[in-house]
Amino acid sequence: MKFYTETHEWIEVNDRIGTVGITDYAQSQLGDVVFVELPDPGTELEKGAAFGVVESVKAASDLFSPVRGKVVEVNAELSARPELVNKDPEGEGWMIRLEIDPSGLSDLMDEQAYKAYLEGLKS
Amino acid sequence: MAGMKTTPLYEEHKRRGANFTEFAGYQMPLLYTSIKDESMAVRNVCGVFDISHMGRIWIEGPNTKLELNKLVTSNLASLEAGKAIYTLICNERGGIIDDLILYCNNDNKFFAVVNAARRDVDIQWLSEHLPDTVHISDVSNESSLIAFQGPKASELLQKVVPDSVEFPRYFCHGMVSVNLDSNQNIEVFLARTGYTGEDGFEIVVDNDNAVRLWNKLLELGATPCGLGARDLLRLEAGLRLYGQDMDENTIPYEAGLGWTVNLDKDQFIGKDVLEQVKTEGPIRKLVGLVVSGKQIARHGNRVWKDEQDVGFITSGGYSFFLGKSLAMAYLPATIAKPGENVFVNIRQGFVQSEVVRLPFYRGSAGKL
Repeated sequence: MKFYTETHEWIEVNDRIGTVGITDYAQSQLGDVVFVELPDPGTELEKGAAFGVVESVKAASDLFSPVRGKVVEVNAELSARPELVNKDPEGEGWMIRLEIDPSGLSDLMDEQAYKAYLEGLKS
Repeated sequence: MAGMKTTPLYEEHKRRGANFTEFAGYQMPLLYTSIKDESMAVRNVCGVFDISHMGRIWIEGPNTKLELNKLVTSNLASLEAGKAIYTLICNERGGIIDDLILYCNNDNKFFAVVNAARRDVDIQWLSEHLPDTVHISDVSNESSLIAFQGPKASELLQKVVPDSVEFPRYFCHGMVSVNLDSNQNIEVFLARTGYTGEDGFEIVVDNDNAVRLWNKLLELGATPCGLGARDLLRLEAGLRLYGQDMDENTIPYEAGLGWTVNLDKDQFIGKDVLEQVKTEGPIRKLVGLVVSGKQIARHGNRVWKDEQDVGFITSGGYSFFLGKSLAMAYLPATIAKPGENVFVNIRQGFVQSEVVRLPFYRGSAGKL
């Protein structure tokens, strides 16, 4: 099940592990990504907390955690290949995996709601 | 988007799905695919840029060369017809009003290409300081300006120009016939100048022919490129951007542009101050920095050395071609030397950076 935030992060949940990244819309707004700053495994994150920075040719943008959780894994590929965020933002461009508090999912958008949200941004 | 200017090629850029940005009051393509792909295409093959937003001015009248020579830092005396020069206009304080390329048609007729954002200021300055007998015409809206840049630019352009035509040499210009399709030849102003460090051309074409020429250049194999790639390429080539790396308070010697200044020639505006600064040496200097890691230094980021704030970043970007984060910065002259290590304050961190000689990359223009 995939959920989305208003700051364009996605989280895909399997059991209590959530994989987090940024959406295709976010990467297209950012332009070429050259660097992704990610937290260390073990880091505890509050819902909405900034967990890292994505540096693109345009600007550096903070990344916000969709839910409260503990970082259990970080995508090591991104340091050598930050362009994965542009190429496959919702797949190979994933950023962190969290052991999550699932109660935080209830106010996130599902795919349909996120699509509608994006439509709203365009107008 | 009321009040925003567009170039004659705007619809083409839209059709091609460009991402737009505002620059100097114009809606310009920032990129078509990505800054990475576009900048790499220019370094490896050839790119084409719509730069019609730039100011274009004809300056004509008796003794134009002599009169212009009183306003620019270079000595125009030996600039022959068909040749061009990169030079600066300074104010009385020796501060740079604009950097520009002057194309000599003859001693009484010059063409100037100036920064888009400075067009009005330049025209005002020229009007105030040239005698009434020298006429200034702003022809910026009457034509389109297209840059065609890359190691293959010359080879590709040859395909649409009659064999008999000899291209202007580096920093030269002339009127050239270009074949658009089987029967149609058009005349364009072709200058062998550019802002990328690669071999290439800047082409002034009538608005009526702009779209067809643009599409022809793309057909030849050039990649359409936006201002994002243009800014990265000029940074790699160590070329300054007015408004970012220098302004009206910048003395040429500070900006590393002392080479454009000829103090042997007769009086020109700013000469007294420039002589003084040359003798005493500038207090600060613009340098190139290679920033370690992959974070990008941005305009305004402070630079530190020995626990002191010593300067600031003017331009920064990530070079995909060189695989390095690059920047330009003003530092005190005492430490503005290749090999010096400084720290750039990027967000909460301090990133080690090394002062290097500009340019970061010497492209195919260096071989001309």
